[in-house]
Amino acid sequence: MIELKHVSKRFTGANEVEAVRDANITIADGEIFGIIGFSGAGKSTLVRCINLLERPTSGQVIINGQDLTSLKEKQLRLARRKIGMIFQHFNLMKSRTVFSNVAYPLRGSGLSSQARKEKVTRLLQLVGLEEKATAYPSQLSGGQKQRVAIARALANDPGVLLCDEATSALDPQTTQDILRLLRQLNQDLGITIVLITHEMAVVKEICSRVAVMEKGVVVEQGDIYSLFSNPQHPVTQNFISTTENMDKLDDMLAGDPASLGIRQGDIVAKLEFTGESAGEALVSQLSREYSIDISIIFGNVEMLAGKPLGKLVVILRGDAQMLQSALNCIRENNVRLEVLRNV
Amino acid sequence: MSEFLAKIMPNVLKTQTVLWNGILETLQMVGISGLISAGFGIVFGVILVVTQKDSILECNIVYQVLDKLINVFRSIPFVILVAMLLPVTRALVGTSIGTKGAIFPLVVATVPFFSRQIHSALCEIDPGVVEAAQSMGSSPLEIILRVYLREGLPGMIRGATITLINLITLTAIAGCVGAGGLGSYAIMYGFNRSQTDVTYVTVIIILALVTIIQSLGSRITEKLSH
Repeated sequence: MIELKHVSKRFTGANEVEAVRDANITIADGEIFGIIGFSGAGKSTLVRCINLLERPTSGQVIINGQDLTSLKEKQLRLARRKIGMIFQHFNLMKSRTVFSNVAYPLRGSGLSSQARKEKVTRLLQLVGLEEKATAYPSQLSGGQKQRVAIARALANDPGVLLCDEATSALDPQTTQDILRLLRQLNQDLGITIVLITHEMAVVKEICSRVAVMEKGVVVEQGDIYSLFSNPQHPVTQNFISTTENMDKLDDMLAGDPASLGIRQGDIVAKLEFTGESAGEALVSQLSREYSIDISIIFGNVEMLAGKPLGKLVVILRGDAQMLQSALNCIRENNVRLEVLRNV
Repeated sequence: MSEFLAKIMPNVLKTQTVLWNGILETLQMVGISGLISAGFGIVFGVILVVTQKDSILECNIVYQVLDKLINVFRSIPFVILVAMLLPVTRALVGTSIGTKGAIFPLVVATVPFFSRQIHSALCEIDPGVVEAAQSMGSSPLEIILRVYLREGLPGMIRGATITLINLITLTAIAGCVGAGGLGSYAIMYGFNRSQTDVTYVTVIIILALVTIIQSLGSRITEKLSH
């Protein structure tokens, strides 16, 4: 378990900044935890506080009951061996082969050279790169480099893997591959993964819980499903709308209503179907029972942590009284309703 | 052939033993002071890189003192440095002339230069790689030996090549102030006795030396870079 208690980090100097302010996060064993924020939000500093690459100005970092901030340099170095880390730019050593890069952290681990060799080979198999053992990093693609970095990070069998923008320098296809590998490692090895990113799509893909950061502060955290279905903070809402193209729709609604075919008396509403309500045929039922017309101008379905989350933006047209009853019916059906426009 | 040589460089042929001695002395001075300077230069270069801001053993006082010291010694012209160091050289090795007397001032002039070369070679290493090593639990000593000195090797060889060439130039200057070697040969015969052929031959030999060192250095650097 990773516990961050009141962690703050202030950079002193010419322009003093408080990169992280009073962060409190608890991450359970075996979890894939995401930290999302725009650049400059302090997420990179926060993740570096976990293995004390950045020493917090105040607060505690407790991993499996051990307070890292209280450790001596030597003990801290031992603790770090059990916290793997991968980076946006991979940070492999150019002068070493793939094999030698992965073997780097095994020096001083007490393994015989034969055992070390076997271990490196096993790690390279795990990330699917055993045939590249003698290659140099400059001969690899971005995705392959990140796989080598993952193998290296896993060399001392860490319980935690920190991923600092690990997919941000990769193309979408490679990002998917790396995320799949991370999820597989999480399932097979039970390793806890802390992943920071500015891409909501990454979080959506593999995280079970998320913290949202802005200006050094954790503004919202929770499980991925409730965060997506019911975001509280504007930054979170912003992130979610960018992944759903909802921002484009907002622009259209702000413009000329006629371009969307909206007439006087119409109601534009956003419906959110969560969990159990996602399967019901609500739209056709409303249309039949209240004899109103419903046209769908936007729709989106996501699978989050294995549960469906559907969003519809619809235009409701018909008798004013009937429209109100229809809205009430929607609310009664456990569908979150937001009236965007009442023309 | 020998007739032809006698015609174009009569004075060189007459002073052959002096020339051979000069070559040997130059190589001796370059070799010994180069080796000593390499040791100190690497140590100081590493100290600079690990004590500078945001580095693994950040220590501003050490960095500033060493940095300024290097600047001071680098800005003293070599001829003046030799004169300045005379009493120290004499106290240290018993003489201030000959190959023996030249080595100390050569080292004093080369160490700052080479330290700077090492420093800039090590600065080129991606700080992210150092950070990765830290995240894997490497100690500062381990990072110096297994990351800096390994990742920085191509750059260090490049710096060593420049330094060696620079050192050859310095030995020639040292020749003017009684150090022996090719420099004093060129001065004594080529300049003082106006035997121009001696000067040209010396230049050609030095040119050959520089070319060999440069191409060797380039080849090693290329081989080490991946």
